[in-house]
Amino acid sequence: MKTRYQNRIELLQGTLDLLILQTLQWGPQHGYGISQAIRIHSGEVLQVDTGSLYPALHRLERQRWIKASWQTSENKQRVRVYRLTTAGKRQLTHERSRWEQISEAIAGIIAPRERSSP
Amino acid sequence: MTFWGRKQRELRDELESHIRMAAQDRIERGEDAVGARQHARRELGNETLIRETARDQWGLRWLETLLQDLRYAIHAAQITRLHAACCRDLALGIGSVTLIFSAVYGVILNTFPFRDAEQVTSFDIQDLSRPTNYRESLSMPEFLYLREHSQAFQDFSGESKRKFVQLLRSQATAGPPPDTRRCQARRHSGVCDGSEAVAR
Repeated sequence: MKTRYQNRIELLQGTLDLLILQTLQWGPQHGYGISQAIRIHSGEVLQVDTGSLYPALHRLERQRWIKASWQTSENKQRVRVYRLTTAGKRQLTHERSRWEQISEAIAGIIAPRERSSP
Repeated sequence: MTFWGRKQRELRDELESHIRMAAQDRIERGEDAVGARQHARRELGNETLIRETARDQWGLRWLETLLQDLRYAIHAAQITRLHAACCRDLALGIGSVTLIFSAVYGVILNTFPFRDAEQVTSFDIQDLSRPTNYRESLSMPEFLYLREHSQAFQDFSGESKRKFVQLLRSQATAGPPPDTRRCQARRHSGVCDGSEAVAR
């Protein structure tokens, strides 16, 4: 199991909400679809653990940032599809700016070292 | 179905649909149906844990815990009632057995409830002046004389047929208890009719 995850990066804590909201901005999606979208769009680098995904989806639903409904998929299967709400879109903007702050902060820490190295 | 039950069922269905879709993807990639489903399920991880963690997000966990606590409290109260009933029955059982034993011991087994009862003896009085040569009782002076001067017995006790009179001096070293002295004083001048001297 360990080797399977070796080439994948574990999600930074707090980024899952951002990734889910971002994925849903592209359109309504079910849980499996969200995990696949994150995997594919990250170039197979980011792997969302199912044990984190569904609790996160239910948490976001409770915050009313996403809304769930049962639909029938193309394969005639009953799936629970999530869509972004207006509050969710606002939250996505907030999460994005927060992420930019974090990445800038991390870049600020890393950059001087890169400059000092020969 | 309750709101709680519906939410739980939905979550179960949702995870099941996740496994189905993951298995379908694997089949499309060339895996056999059974293996694909097994792999998909394994990839999902601990389903119970996922369900519990997701349930925590509903914010009703406190209600579930409260209900659990209430159920436990009711159960505990039932146990307490059972304990109380057990204790009561035990107490009644022990009490009745003790009572019956005391009665049987007093009435049948130990009809002569004195300390060192095997050392107690009664004696008859020969009186040659009587036609029967026999007398049942001592006069009070006779009794007191015997008690003071007898070397064969440790102490004397008498019983009145009308009323129990204890003339027993408790022990040789200790003085007579107040009750005994009062009794002696009252009966000293009279004749202890119908009394039976008991020596020990």
